[in-house]
Amino acid sequence: MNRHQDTSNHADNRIDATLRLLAHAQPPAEFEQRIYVRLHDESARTQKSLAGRFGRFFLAQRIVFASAAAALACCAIVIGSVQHSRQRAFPATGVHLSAPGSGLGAASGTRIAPAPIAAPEHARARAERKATGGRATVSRDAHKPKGVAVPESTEPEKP
Amino acid sequence: MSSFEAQVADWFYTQPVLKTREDVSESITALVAEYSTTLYRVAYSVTRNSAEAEDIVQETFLRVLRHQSKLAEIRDARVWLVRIAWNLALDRKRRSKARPETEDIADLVRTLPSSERRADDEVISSQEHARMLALIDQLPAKERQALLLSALEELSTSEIAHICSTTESSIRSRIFRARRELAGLLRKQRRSR
Repeated sequence: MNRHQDTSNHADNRIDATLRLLAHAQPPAEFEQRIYVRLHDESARTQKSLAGRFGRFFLAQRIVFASAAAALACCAIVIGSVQHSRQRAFPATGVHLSAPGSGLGAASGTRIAPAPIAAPEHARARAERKATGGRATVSRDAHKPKGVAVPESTEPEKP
Repeated sequence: MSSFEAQVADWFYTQPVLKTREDVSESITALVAEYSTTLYRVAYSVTRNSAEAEDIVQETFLRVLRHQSKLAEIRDARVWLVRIAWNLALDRKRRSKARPETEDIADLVRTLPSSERRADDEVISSQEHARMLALIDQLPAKERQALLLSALEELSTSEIAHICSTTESSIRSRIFRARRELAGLLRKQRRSR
């Protein structure tokens, strides 16, 4: 029993001695000074690289920024186009108005005179053409302006 | 150079340096003064190399500098710092496993002031200390951590429990198990010799 106790004590003593050795380890000379110097260096380096870090960030992300800018430009084009289309007043379906003075338009387009047409002075209608047997006939008493020669009708007049 | 340019240049080149001095704030300076030795011992107990232990302490305070905005939230700076140092030391030890270790135990034994030694320590040689440390390395990680941290007088059982994220009773049982296993390993070693 005593022998076992002695062995145990010896082991404990050795363990304690080694742990004491570690617990009393002394840092080398000027240990704290070196820590301060390293902290100062690190702090200065961080300050100097702060501006550079922003630059590096934008440089590293340039693909992302370029893609974002391209997407934004595409969106602007599409939105602008849609806005422009909505601003144009479309007429009812089937009636095609050509832009005035543009000279362009569909053949079936309704053309509206740019100004109202004034009525003739004597409110006289234009000569009516009555086709009979494929030939134009002009009545004898048709009022004709002076100096206008009217050919004789080949068709005999009915009484 | 015009006076304006000189002023601008002066602002650009001297201002960061002034800020740098301000940045290493008084709180970090106080932490270095108070805990650097404890952290050195924590790191040394893992690496057993003076240069590496010093490097680990510096790295610990660099982390504090990087996260100085969180300093106000830290309840127990000692626990926080020891935990950082311990993790850094373990990382360093893991990485250095590939290369041969250079332990400074013999230097430590030689340089330890006689006032720090006990009468029975005198008979234990540096080789015996090295053998004991090799046996400590064979312990399971949790037991080893509890045993090594318990050696530091600066740390109470409660603080060790916080560092290990466990309870005080768990720490006591880990230390007990570690000592028992070490005694067993020592007996085995003696028999084999």
